[in-house]
Amino acid sequence: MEQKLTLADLASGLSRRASVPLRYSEDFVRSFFNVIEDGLMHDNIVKVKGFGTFKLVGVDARESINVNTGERIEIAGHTKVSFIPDPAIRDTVNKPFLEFETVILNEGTDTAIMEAMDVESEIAEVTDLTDVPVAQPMETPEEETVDEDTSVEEKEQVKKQEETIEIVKEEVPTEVVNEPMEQVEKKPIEKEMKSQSAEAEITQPAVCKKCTCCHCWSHFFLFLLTAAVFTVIGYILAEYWHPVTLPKLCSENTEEKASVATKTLTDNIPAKVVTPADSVTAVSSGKEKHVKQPSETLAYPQVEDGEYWIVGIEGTEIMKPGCTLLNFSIKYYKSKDFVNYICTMNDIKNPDIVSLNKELRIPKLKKK
Amino acid sequence: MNNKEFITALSQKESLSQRDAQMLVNHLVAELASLFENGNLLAVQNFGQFEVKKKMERVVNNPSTGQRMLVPPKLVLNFKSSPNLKERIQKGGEV
Repeated sequence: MEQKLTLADLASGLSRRASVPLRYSEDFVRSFFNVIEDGLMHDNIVKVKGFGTFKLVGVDARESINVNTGERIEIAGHTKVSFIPDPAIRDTVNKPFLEFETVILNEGTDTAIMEAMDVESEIAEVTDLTDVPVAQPMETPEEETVDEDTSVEEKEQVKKQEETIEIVKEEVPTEVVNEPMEQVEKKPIEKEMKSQSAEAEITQPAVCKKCTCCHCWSHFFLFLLTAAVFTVIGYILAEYWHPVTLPKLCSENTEEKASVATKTLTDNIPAKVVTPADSVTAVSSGKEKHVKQPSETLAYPQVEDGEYWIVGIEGTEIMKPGCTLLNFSIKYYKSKDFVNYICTMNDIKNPDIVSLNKELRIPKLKKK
Repeated sequence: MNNKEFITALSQKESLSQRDAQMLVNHLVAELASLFENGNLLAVQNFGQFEVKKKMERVVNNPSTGQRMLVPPKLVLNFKSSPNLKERIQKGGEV
């Protein structure tokens, strides 16, 4: 129903709705817009309840470049009509997307995922917008501390999952449809393997070739199983012997995981195939979250979920009439966002109530 | 010009009672809302064009906290004034 409508269509709609003659409603609609225009001329602003606000906004003169000749030209200042829809009509128009809310992204989420996802969804022709918000919560790492025992457990789980998938796969006759998706999924895993062990590198291309072949599913899963086991072993080795390389691997893993999560929504069956990788990344991202707390911070109270550690005392201030925590925050940190740290440092429960002449210690901060 | 003044002006022009004018405006606004809800485009001669545009989802950065947020996609009602209206406003509306 997306068509270009004119005033006449609007008038006929109105005449039906308000049961007035068409001729009259047309006249009314016309004068509706005329009055808006007159109002703009006289008052610069017209508010229509339920519809929105029309406003005249001045635009300053600015310089620009003629795209054809490359010449500098000046665009003269002018007034333009801005229209801000009323919240009522704004929500009506936005109805299909109304339930979406702004989501806070976790650290380590890469915007490249979204771009990659866009491309994938174009390929698969499954442009479902719900993917994005739903995928976000899944990325939250739940495990804060993971030791080697869990890694081993993960490995066993991986094996079990692989076996179940094998069974599921054989029952489903529509593999042909899923194949392109799977090939895409293999790529991140392959990348990971290269960085971890040479053995895996040898097995992986074989897997990729196999997945184009419809017949050898059992062989394929055998390879996949081996690959997954190598991944886990490689990961453990890397963890023990090369702690320096770990952050790099982690970031790769989280990237992969996010793309995996988005795929889970677009296609159920291949998503199962990647669950082992998923659980591996859950371990790694748990590791990543476990930031070491510097020893010098232990002497001071810390802000939970803060971006900074409190590592010392920057200075002291006496609370005088007219002073606010906000002022101190701006004075010391050039930002009003650090009131929280001052409160924590001085054990202030309510930042709106600070006793007079209280000596405040201003914390020295260090980025986590 | 607020809604009240707008209704007054409209009722004078159409020689209606203010109540009737407000009622008709309410109907008109409801009609407009249902048009835009269906994604239609409304072009009013000598005034401008109302169009529903889709804004894609995007990632924004809060510069002070460094927090990154994903803003969902949305449909937004857009108004583009006609060249005619622009010209008239340039001439007469300059304050």
